[in-house]
Amino acid sequence: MPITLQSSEKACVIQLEDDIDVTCAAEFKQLLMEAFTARKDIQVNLDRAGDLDVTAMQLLWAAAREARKAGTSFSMSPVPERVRAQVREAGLNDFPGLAVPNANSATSTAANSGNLDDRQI
Amino acid sequence: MIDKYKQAYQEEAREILLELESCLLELNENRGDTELIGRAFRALHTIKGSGSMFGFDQIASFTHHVENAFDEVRNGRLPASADLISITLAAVDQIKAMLDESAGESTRDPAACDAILAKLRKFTGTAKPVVAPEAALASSPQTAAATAEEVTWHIHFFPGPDLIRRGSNPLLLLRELRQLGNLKITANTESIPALNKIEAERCYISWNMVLTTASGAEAIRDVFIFVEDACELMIEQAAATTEAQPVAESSPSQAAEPSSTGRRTTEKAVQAASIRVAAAKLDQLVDLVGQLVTVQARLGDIAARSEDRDMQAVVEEVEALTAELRENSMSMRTLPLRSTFERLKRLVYDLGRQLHKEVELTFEGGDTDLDKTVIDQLNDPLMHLIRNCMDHGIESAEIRKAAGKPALATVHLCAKHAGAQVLIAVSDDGKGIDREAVRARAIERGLIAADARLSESEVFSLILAPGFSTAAQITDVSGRGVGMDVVRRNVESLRGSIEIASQPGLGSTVTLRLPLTLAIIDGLLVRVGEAFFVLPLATTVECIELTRQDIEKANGKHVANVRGQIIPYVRLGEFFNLRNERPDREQIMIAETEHGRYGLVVDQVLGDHQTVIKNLGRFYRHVQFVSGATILGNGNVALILDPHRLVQDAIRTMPIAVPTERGIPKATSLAV
Repeated sequence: MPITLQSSEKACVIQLEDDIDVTCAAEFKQLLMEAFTARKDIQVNLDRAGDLDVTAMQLLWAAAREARKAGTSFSMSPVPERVRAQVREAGLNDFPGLAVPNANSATSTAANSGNLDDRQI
Repeated sequence: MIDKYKQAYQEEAREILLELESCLLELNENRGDTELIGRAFRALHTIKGSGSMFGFDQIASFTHHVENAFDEVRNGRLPASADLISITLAAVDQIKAMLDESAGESTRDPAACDAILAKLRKFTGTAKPVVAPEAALASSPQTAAATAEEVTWHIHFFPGPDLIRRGSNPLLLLRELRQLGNLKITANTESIPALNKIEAERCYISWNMVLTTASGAEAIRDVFIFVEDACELMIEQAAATTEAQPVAESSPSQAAEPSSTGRRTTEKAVQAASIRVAAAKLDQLVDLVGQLVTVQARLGDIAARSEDRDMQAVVEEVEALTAELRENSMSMRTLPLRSTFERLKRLVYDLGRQLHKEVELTFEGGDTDLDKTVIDQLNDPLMHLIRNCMDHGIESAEIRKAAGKPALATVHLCAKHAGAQVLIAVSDDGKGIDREAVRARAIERGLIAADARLSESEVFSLILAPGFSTAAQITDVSGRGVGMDVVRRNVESLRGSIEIASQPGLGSTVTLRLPLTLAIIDGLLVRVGEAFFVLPLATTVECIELTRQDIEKANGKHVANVRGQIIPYVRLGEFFNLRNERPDREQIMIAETEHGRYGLVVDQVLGDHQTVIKNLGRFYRHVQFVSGATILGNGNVALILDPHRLVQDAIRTMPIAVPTERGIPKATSLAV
């Protein structure tokens, strides 16, 4: 199972393992929704994640935005360089909750993002 | 879901390979045709790109090398030589084998793959600029300079909602685009909805990109070639947007039509208006429609006996709708013969090289539609016919030249509709069939008596007998006498027939006469005594009355005078040995047959009938003049007649007249 949700008293931790792509997108969305419903801090653990495809990036983007609106703590950590590179290649430089340095050949529309350099919202 | 897309890739890849094969064979004839080179490159690019996306890494990796070679050709660094085309065709076979292997159908030989790659490397390793003479004349110094310069392009890529569901990965496309030059990417995320409203498998992000590259718009479009129908794509030259006026002045046509490199959605939207459906589902649909037609016939029968006007009106509507549904579902199963013909080009190419004969395959009537089931069973007969004529019919170049013929021989395929049938003719301009040799061989094998009197077509038909061959030696291609037997059996299983014509020194023509469909036909229901028959509507010309006076006027001969034209006829009652009392007024159904117009005399014409063809089973497979049976609304069974064969049989066995060329029966009629 590449995606698991563990809930403690204070936080929901979503662990991503291996490639997160369209084949598990529905499941990833479901777990994110459950995490929001729990009204706890949300932490997405990417250290064992493989490739992230567009569906995964969209879901993380939407979740980060949702968290900011709801005032929920949402963090992604630790983020391997591999994932940072993929996000950079996708042109999502200002990914909410994820600093993507050295993105000289890729910029995302600042107007659409929260331009959040911190890992935590 | 991904497996479904993998299967779709396998199917699409096979189609693309077919197109590629045809393109390569065409390129072999026109080596400098840049359009064909571009087509070949794009086909390879699509196979590679899609293969990579769907996890067919071996195919992607192998095709990448072939694509590289064609990129060199496209860029004028390598000529499209006969050897390169030959190796590319071998590579096409290899990719097919890889697809077969991935589908678990067979295993391939990895050594063959390595050998092809080694040969390709020889080509690409020695690539150097080559300029075709016409290209040299056409290209000006300015254009040459322009191709070497880097140009900045604005690219807007809007993935459609299903792009990811179809197994495509936009990030791989961006990565590929990056390889063309310096790329700046801006992702548009404003379309990403709230988390609870996201369709998890849909792509909401779109991208604006600025690419500075020496590659042209075509190369950029090639990156998106396999997702074109699932996205919106705009490719615009940066200079054209910032300095539109000068461009408009220098090239009005380009300025007026920016979409030539711009948005291609409209065209693609039209292409995307079709979907891929499994053939088995269509078969099931036609089967269900067949059952519906049978039930509808029963309903019609009940309504006819009822006096309820309302019910009769509804039944009429149901009948009309059923007929329309039937037409519709049948048309879904028909395919043009073009791809079948195209596929044979490769066979001719390979056999030509094997037999050291120069042969060109030409065809006409590629748009002729035929039921898919029939088409599927046609491949083998056509293949054997071509093998046969290339091995035995067509002479070597030396012999042809000596006979005053061009060294390049021709095999011509022709398809056309003829009523409810399709005629497919395979002709060659070879030496023709040696009638005496066929006859002698038939006598030797005991197929005919030494003193048998056979017409020319009967003699030629002997070559269809199992194991029959006049070939002095067996080659890899033919000579075992198996091929023509396969042709006969396959065509007969399709309820078709074969005609053979040949002229010494000029060539031969084998014509296959096949039914348009094997499922449901429009027919005319007739009655003879208590028996019911269906005649195909497509071969029925008209229906006229036959009175006792008409019979007396003809002095008892089986002929009728139809507006001055004498038409011979067959009494179905006599033909089928039905003991029925002749009514005072009978009906003659005039049918168009390959023997001319003939009448079929019946007691009563009951009307048109949507006829679901049911196979009679193997016990009746030799009854040639009956093409099947159908169940009527009242539960009775009606035999479906094949007028061509019925008349053919009647001419042989019954006392009826045979029309002469002028349409008047010969006096040799035995009718009394």
